Amino acid sequence: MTPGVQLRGVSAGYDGVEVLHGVDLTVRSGTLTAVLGASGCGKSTLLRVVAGFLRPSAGEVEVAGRTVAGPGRHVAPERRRVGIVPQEGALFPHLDVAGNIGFGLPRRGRAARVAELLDIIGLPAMERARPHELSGGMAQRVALARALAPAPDVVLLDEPFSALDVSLRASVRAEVITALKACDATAVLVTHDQDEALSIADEVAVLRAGSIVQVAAPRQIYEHPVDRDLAVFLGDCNLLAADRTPAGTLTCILGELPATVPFDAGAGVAMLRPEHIDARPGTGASATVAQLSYHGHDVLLDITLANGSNVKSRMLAGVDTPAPGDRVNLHVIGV
Amino acid sequence: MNRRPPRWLLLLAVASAAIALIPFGYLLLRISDAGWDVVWSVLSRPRTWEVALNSLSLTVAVAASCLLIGIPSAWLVSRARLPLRGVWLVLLALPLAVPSYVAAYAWLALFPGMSGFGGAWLVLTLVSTPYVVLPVAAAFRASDAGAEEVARSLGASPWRAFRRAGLPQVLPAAAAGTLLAAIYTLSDFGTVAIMRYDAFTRAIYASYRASFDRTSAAVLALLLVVLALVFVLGEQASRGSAQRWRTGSGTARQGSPVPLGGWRWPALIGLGGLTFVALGVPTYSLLRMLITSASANTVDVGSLTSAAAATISVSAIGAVIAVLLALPVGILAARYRGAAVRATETGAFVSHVLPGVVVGLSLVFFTLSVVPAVYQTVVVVGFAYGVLFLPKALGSVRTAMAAVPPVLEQQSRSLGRGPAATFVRVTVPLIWTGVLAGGVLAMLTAMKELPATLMLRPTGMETLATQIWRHTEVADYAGAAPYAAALLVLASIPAFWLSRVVSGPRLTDGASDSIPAERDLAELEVRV
Repeated sequence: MTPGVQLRGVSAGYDGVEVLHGVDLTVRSGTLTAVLGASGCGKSTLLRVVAGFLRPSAGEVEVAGRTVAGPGRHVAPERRRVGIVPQEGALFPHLDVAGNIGFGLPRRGRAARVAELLDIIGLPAMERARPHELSGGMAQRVALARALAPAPDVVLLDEPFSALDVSLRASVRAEVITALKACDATAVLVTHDQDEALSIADEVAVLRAGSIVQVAAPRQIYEHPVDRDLAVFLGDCNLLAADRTPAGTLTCILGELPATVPFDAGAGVAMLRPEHIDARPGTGASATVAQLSYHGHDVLLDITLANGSNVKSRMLAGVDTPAPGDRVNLHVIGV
Repeated sequence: MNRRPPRWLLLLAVASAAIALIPFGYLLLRISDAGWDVVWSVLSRPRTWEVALNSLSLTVAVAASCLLIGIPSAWLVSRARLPLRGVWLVLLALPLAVPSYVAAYAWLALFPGMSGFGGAWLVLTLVSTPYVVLPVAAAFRASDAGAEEVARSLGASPWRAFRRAGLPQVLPAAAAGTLLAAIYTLSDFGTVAIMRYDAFTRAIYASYRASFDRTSAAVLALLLVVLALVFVLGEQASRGSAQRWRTGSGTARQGSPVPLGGWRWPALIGLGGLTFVALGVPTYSLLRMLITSASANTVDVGSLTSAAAATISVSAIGAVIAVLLALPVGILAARYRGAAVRATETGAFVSHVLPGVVVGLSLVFFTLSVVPAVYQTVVVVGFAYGVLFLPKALGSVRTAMAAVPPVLEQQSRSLGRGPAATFVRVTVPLIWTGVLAGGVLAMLTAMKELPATLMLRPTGMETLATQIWRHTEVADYAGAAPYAAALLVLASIPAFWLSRVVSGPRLTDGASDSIPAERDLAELEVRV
């Protein structure tokens, strides 16, 4: 099947400063890929290259099998069939909701298509509302509907939820994903929020300093990051000195770990997420709880081992949650 | 922001800037043709330095009095607990609507003996105090009362807290406003001419009229431009620092109004007195002259209508020219950066430094020797207006364009609309009110223009401004009254429309992120 978007060796930048360095990325048709990276890593530049607002200095971009950018070739944004949802919606302030959604549609059949999209985004009967009357979440959904209306080959979403209140973010996110699936759209979403990328994407591509570090399914990338920096970037983690046994398993201060635990043979370091360490009185390496930070649904424990090293453990909060000063035994679960 | 401007836009903008530079360029050409010894002989005349000293002393005196009156007035209307605070602010701003020569004429009609330095000082102070009051009042409103409260909590007395924490917050605005008043005084022709005070503008006009000595008029004009440039550069620098002043984002908190206690009556008497001299006296004088002229049955309705019609049509031509010149430069300046863009914008802003009398003089030279066919035609008057008021139109166009986020145009492109369709369907609907406002503003200012109109108008054509001038020159104060009244009424129509457009709701939220003081400064420039 033809990929929805394919980037081959794409480099791009502004005023001679290169921001993207030879990016390769394939987005399968009909899937949502999250491009995850810290601010300034080139995420937005990547979107601008695909949308056609910026010419790459090297490499090729294909959308639905058509080369839209490459050596000697630059298809204008209006001929790419690439929709984009910018950060704060950027609705046309002089048009109402129907005018915004119908902007990219031919006159014939416009009204019907607008009504259909209003249904999909869950805002029926809002045709005549003006952009300034909409809440942030509504505006974002209208912006998505506007991008989806001409049935583009791919939709690009540029940090679409970062301007929303935290309380609103989850529900708008869910509605946007539903709408994307309803239209069977290929989508690329850029975000700096790890939780967001891991929870909504079919695949996560991590961009660091203008280069792709890893592309994989969320679970794969979280549990098996390709390097230490990525492991730390994706969430809390314990980096433990370890050795590989002849049997292929790992030994460290917590005892023997299964071979499935990520291990950097060069540095002799094994990576364990805090939720994989259970700290309760019982069997296993003995240690003392030094600190506890309470998050409501769970707690993060800072634990000091007998040899003075520290590990973190995340546990569901409950009646058996240890307190600072308690003696506990550590054992590894779920890997 | 990062892309290079399209070549056609850059070409149009460069052409506009080049056209705007014609008066200044031709003035330089004329002077260099005359040769250095002629320039030197004009510069070494004691008379030249006498005029320069006159201009400078008047400018400094007016600036100082505006500052001294302006800061306390601004504080009263923005910080003090005062009955009818909003009304006082409007009353303090209103003198801006009165052309300086109308105010001068009204005072002179009441007190024929008050010509000279004193008269010019009084009238120019009264008409230009709003330049200080408005930005300072805005700065007081925008400044964070928190700073003064912190100062109080650190043990400062109220007066000390004001001096150390409150006043410094408005000083940049006060400096910018004072410099605006100074620039206005330096380039004003009407007041000094009517008050018969030998400042630069009057001397230039006089030596132009004495047609055997036009080169010395040109040298004086250049000297005036250099002086004005110093003040304009100072104003831009102080405005820059006014913008940098607020620390932190978020809304500045307004302090609660300060109760005046026993100072309440002196404060009200002061504001009332200021309003009385700035508005009451000229209004009374004008009404008196109007009644005199009406009862003597000397109102010439025919020439009044034709003067009004000429005023409207010529200033409309000027406004159209100003907008046409401003469009490419404004769009370019709002969207692109770079040396070429900056140079173009600076070129277009040169008219900021050109007093009307200088543009008039230069265009007399230019038309006589380059395009004699348009000498003393409506075309050249309109062109003079276009060049003179290009900065006003440019400011509006640029602001309107800058308020359109480029992301909207990119959206349109992504949705399948090409560059031309995007311009028509997205950009134009978003900027047209701003562009129109720029045109109306240019027209409003052009209606009140006097010196360039006097020098360039076709023989036999009279506008309201030139009629006022003609009658005042021969001390026929009653005869000038109908024209002055007509001008005030005519000018108030676009001014009213503008004040509604400017203070109306903004199109996009993105446009409102400038801090209030900055917006009010821009608004002030709109009104001036």
